[in-house]
Amino acid sequence: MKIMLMTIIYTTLIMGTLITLISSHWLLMWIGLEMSMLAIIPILMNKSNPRSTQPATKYSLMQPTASMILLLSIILTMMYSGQWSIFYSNNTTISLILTTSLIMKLGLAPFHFWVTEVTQGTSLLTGMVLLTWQKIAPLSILLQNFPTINQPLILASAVLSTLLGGWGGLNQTQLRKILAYSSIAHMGWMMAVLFYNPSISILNLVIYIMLTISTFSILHTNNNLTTLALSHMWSTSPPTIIIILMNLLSLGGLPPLTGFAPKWITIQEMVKNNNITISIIMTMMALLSLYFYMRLTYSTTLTLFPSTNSSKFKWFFHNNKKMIMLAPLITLSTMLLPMTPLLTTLS
Amino acid sequence: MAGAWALARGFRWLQSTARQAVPLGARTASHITKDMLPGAYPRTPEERAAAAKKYNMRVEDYEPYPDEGMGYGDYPKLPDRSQHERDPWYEWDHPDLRLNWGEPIHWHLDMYIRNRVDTSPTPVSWHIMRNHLFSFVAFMLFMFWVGEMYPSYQPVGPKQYPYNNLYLERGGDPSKEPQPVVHYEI
Amino acid sequence: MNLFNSSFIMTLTILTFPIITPLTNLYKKSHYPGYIKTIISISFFLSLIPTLTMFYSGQEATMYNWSWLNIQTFHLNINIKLDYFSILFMSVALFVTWSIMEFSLWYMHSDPNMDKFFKYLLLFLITMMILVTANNLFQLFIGWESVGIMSFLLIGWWHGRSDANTAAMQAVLYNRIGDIGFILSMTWFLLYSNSWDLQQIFITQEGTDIIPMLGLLLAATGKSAQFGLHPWLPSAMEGPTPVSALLHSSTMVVAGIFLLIRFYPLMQNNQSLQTLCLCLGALTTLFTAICALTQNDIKKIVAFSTSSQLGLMMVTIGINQPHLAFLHICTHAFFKAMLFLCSGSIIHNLNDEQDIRKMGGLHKTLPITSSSLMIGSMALTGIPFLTGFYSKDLIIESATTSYTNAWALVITLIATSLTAVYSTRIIFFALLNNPRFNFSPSMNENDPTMINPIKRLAISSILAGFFISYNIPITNIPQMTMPPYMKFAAILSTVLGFMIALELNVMTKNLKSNYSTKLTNFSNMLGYFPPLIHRTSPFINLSTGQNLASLMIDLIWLEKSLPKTISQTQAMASMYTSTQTGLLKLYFLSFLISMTLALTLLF
Repeated sequence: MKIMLMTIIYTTLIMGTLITLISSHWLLMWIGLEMSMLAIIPILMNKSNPRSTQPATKYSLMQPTASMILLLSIILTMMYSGQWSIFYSNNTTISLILTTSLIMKLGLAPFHFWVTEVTQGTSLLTGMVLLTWQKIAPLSILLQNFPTINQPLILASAVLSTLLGGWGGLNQTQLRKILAYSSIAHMGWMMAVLFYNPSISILNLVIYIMLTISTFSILHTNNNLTTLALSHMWSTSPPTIIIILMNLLSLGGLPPLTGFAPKWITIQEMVKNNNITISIIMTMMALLSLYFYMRLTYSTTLTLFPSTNSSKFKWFFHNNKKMIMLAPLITLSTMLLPMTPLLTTLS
Repeated sequence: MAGAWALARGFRWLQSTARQAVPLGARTASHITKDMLPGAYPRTPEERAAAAKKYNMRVEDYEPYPDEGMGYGDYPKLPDRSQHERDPWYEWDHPDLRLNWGEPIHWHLDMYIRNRVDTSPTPVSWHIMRNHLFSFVAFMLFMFWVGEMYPSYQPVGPKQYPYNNLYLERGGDPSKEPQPVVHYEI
Repeated sequence: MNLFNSSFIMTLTILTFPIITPLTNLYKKSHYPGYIKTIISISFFLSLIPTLTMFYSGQEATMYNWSWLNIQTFHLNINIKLDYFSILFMSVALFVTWSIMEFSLWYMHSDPNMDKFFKYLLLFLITMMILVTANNLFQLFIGWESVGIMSFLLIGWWHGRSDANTAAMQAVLYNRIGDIGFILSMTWFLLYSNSWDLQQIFITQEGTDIIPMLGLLLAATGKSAQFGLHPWLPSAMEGPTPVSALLHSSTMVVAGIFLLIRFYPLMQNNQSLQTLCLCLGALTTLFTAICALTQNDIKKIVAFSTSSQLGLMMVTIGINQPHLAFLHICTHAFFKAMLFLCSGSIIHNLNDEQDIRKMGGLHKTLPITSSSLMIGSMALTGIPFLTGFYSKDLIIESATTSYTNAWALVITLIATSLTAVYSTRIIFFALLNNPRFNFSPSMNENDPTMINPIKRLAISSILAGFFISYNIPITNIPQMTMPPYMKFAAILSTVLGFMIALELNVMTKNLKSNYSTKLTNFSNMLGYFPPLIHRTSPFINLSTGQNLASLMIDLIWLEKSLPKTISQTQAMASMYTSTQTGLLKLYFLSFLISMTLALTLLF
């Protein structure tokens, strides 16, 4: 029964996103979104305790609101154009409503509050699904509609996202929250370049997903939820601290690592389009994100927090949570930069 | 014998290298540890006494810099004298700096080392020297101004040359007898 | 290329041989210092060919050798100027250096690094040659700087002594101040003439702009030790005596005056700059003459007399007589070099005694040195028909007949008579009366390497002025016919100085002397200039640097305003933006506010 239920739920989750991706009918797109949204709610409250019902409640209140607004924009489009297929209109109202609803769905800056809360309330793996798989569907709608979306709104949202993502992460010790803020900041980078070159947004998304999955997987392997737990990782798995260091720096976008490529290309594309001011602001804001990644690496590799003796014997309790594809993911998320020349095919 | 000698040398070498090696935890990026920085400005007599002891000074000699936010802390304000003034024949622990080991160092020692600012006493006092030089220069400048107002302009005549003022050399007609030029009067 | 050019180039080229030969084995067989001396004498005789050609036919030339670099429209060539100034100066400098080198063979014979010393002297000479023959500012600058470097190395020759080091540092630092002016002028000419070629600068500029001229004056002030930047010159006496002789006669210190002479086509149009030169020169010549009066170190007196003569040269520039200034450079080189060689001879024979109070009666023990010293002193004071007379008398006459600053003229005349005073003082204390030193049996002047150069220079101190002034081209303003009192002004002030000095010196034979007054200290302590300036300026610079750069900038900029402010603002922003209550009401409110804002902004 349990297995049966989970199979149905996960299938719905995957199918919902896929339906959104492949359909060109507005109503089907919306239905796909709704499907994956409804499917994730049981996953969020996988463990039935008050701690996990809270995020599920929040999620189920936030997302339908966004979906309703999206439906409103769909109906408006239908009324305006008389058809259900994607239609590039220059109607400001429609574009504004569409953009706002998708920003809400993605958890971008002015509507970002729920993301951290929901992520913090769930397990690591669910958080990973929430921050990666659930982003694909709304983003695909944005990508398909990029001429329609409202440029000032999306740019403002992008800058705000990087800024608030950076600031929010500064004040955190909980790893899931930090990763949620990191997700907000990365979404900001994707949004910034969306209007100029959607392919770069896709690249950004792909690399972001790889990085996030690998980071979450590493954390899940050792079941680390806080910075303090991360600083004890040396006793269980010394090689991991090096890997997590590289992964975090890659998330921050430091040059020899994969994470640098999307930032680099994004900045280049924005400068090409004479949007120098915003690219400068976003680069500066990336420093804030980089700061809290650096702080994590610092506490992971360079210092030893004051702690009781028993906590240093974590290796005694060996846990066997093996993640699939961890090695190739880590490799990809740190060493992909030399492949950057291939990106010329994007533009 | 040789073995003992080598052993002694080796031991001494070990000792010296061990002394040079800096323990890893004791090093900061700026090479300044907390102990090297001056402490807080002493406010009570007890704090003054403690600070004086810290800087190897007597309480009577100890006088901190005024607390005005320049970061001097409890560092003692030593007299502004140059090291050049100190006795060159005394056996200083650091002869080049003319300092003894453990002696409190002037905050601006960089400025007062031997080949920089010199404060050694002069045969003539400072203000007399300053007044004399400035009054000399000022007097000269004033007199130059006066001289410019009333320039010297002496009576002069054109230069005189032999051979009837170079009559032929200046392209005069050789067939004509030139007017004799007289450069004197009786 | 005719004989004129080729012999000139040959003169320059063979000077570089002694620098190349140590790389080969040829050098091992010969006595290196002697070799350098021979080379310089050969070079001197070669240089006579262009000099005499120039005297005979007035030939001058400019040689463009090869293009050095081109920056857009700016071309820099290596080019050499063979005009009256460079040709004559080369001959004089080579002659004087030849004598000094020969003298050094005797004076420095016990020095362990004698080869190096001679090489330094030779390099010093070569750099000076580069300076005088340069036809563009860049070459001139190379010579200018190299002369400074070589003077640093030579003044600090006995670098074990801290005094010598200090003196060398002083020379370099004061010259750097002058270099600021030189570089300023170079920059200005590059900007406004697009060239460093002297001819092109003279064509395109009129010299009415004061800035480059002031730069040149500052450069000359530093190099030629005019008032304000003069203290390095007496300090430079810490070097070996041959170095002082070379430094003060034909290299280095005259370079500043030479620069102004080179630029006289611009100078002569700039009235205010000439007044400045005149006043500066007059002040220098008086001030240093006053300082020379009470010195007891024989080399210091001679050094101050050089400084005074440099002031006189500056006065000559100031009355727009560059040719006369150049004449004085040339004549001055002979007797000043000889005065230094004579004092070197005395110092060496008295076992390194430089104090004239501990000499006396030397005319008995060192007759040739003494007679040469007297000839030199008299030539310096301008006794008629010795070398100094031809230039000095002419300068004073030109000054008196000019329409010029009265006070500058007066103090120049005073300085002229003071020249006689301190020259008499050297002669009286060092040469006359009874000996006041510990007699050593080794005192002699038998060595030809010591006597020959002094004799050669003594003869030229008598005759050279006549030959050179006989061949001087027509000056800018020809001498006027003047009343007798002006004609006799120079000689009368000199004689007056002699008489006063004799009267004063005879007072030393009194059993009891009066205590000196406070004012003597002014002269004796070099006008209080070095103690005041050398303490004040480092104090101001170092304390401002420490307080401003180290403390204030560190505290304000690198501590408070950047790192602290940034971390505080970010921490505060982070607190405000991410403090979460978990209330859904708030999230929906943020939706509402954002939507309203966006809608109002867009519609």
